Amino acid sequence: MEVLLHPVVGGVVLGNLLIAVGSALVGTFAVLRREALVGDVLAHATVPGIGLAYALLSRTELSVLLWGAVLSVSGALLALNVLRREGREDARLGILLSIAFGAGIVLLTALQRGGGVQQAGIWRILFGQAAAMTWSDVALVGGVVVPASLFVAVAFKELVALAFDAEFVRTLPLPLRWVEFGYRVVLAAIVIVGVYSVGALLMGAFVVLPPMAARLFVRRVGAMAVGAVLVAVVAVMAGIAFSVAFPRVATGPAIVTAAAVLVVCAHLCAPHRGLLARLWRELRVKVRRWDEDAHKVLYRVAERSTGGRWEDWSIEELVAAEVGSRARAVGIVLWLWMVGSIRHKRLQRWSVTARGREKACYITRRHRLWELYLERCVGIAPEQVHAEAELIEHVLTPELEERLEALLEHPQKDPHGRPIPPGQP
Amino acid sequence: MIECRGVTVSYGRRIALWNISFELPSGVLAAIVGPNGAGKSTLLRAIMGLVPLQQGEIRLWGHRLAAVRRRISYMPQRESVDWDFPLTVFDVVLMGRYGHVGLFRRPRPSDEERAWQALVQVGLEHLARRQLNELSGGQQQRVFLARALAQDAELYLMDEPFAGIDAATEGVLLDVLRQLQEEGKTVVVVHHDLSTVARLFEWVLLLNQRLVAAGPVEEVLTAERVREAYGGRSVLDEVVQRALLERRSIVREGQ
Repeated sequence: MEVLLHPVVGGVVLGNLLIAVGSALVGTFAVLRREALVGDVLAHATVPGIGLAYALLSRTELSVLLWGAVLSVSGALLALNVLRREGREDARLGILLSIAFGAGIVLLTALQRGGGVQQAGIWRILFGQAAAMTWSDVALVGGVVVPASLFVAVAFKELVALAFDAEFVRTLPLPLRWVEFGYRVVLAAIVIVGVYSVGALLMGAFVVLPPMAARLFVRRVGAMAVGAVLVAVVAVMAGIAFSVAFPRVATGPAIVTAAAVLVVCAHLCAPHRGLLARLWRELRVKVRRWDEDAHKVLYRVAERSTGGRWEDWSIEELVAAEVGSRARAVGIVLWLWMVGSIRHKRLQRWSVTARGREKACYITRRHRLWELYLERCVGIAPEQVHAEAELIEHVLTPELEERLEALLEHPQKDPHGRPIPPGQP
Repeated sequence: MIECRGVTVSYGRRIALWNISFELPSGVLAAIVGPNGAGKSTLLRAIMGLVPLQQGEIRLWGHRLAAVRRRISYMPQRESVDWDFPLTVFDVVLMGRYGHVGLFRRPRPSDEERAWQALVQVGLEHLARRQLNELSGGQQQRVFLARALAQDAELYLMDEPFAGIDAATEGVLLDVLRQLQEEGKTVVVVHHDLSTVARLFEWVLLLNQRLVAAGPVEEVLTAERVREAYGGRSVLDEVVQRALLERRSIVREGQ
């Protein structure tokens, strides 16, 4: 809080935070509408307007120059609307972006050659002047962000519906054309004041990055908007802190980089949708398979030993049972011991615990039930059912197992004539 | 009730509908049938004001569309939206009430009640809080159906509701169509399966950019006309013949 009251730093922090909040709220809908590139076009379209305003007014304050941006961004919006049926969308947007930005740079460099603009001036427009915001700039930013946020709050239900199914919404007896228009205006206004913070080059990205990160964590649009605001605020604080620690680093690009890093982190860490969550799910499936296969080996060893013995085995017996290689047998023994399914007597003789026995019966039972089902009800030859059952045994649910058993009329033997172990009483 | 006069629609230089004129009576269950690219969906979209008419005029109950929007419910194709969207099933069905709720207002309890009824009608109430991206194709179709029902309209326009659905959803859809018909509503369905048209619908619009024929199924669905619409493929003739025979026997049994 103290930092906000600081005569210089306070303005910088507050101004950037306001832009973060506004762009996150509006950007949520840009992301949901899959219009990330539209924001980028509008952001780049600020440049020719700023150049023009400078050429005509010879003033250098951004608060004046941005009125030129209002003009050129309106032109870009108009062009987007007129051309909306022409050609492919990505090509259309890409061309428009290049034209707007190219024209702006031509204008600015021409003015620079003429001795008007300094290098620093162009830099300031392209990458923002996040660290040089004055209190009057903050007032201007607030004058845009507060009404924009109010608009999003009031028209929230309509904006969501438009983003999800614009065509259906257009058939309703509501004047939603005005909400659509309002959304465009608000997006354009946020992008224009964004030039203050992260600059014309990066504002398009800053609008969509925080909502993209938030999208991975949420199930409702409202939560996504709140999440986007949080991410944007964190990015701003991190960017400012970074450029305070390293004074040669420009604040605007640092903010956008922080937002991008957060998006990458979100993609890694998000529950369900994140990369790590997906890898974890895959790993759990693999571990479960390994565990169940290991227990199946236990059952087979007991079955093949004289008299169905569950105690007092050597590793050699395990290897002989079917495991094949000695290394794999040792691996299986180690695993079973770790999960508490077997215990040993001086590492020589091994016995199955009650829990290990229960699991071994359970998996073997499902394997053999499924084999029998494949043979009897699907008509697959007995010698082929084993491979199929190897896959399905790991995913059979207890309910399905019960129904299988009922369907097969509580069978005793599998297609190979081996007993099917009974289920839990 | 729906009255089209000389309707022509084109996308750029490609003509989608050419000089379509017909009059659909109120209270019928009608199908728009035709080959791919015949402009079936475009006709629905033209009626809904979603594509501009190049020529001609469409009147509904004798009025222009703007005056009667509240009495019409439109169900777009399932593929027209992105189902990986952070909304619940109930959120989407509630959108059917937005025309009644009004701009910038919160849905009233009565609107939520009606949306819930629609959800029950399509048998999805147990999925009300489910995310959209967790639904099967048939369930998605039922969500759209529920949203259309929640609108409480008199005219229902449905774009390919039978496309790519499971047996359960087809059953629900048939029940809903029957019920709407009993309530005296008018339903127009874009349909791609010629073999079931005669069984399911009483009125047909046979379309292939221009209108081949419009009227009661028995009159319109002749082998000759179908050949005209589909370009003389004999397999289709057979399908239609069989379907018509089937319908006649159903009608006879009914009498």
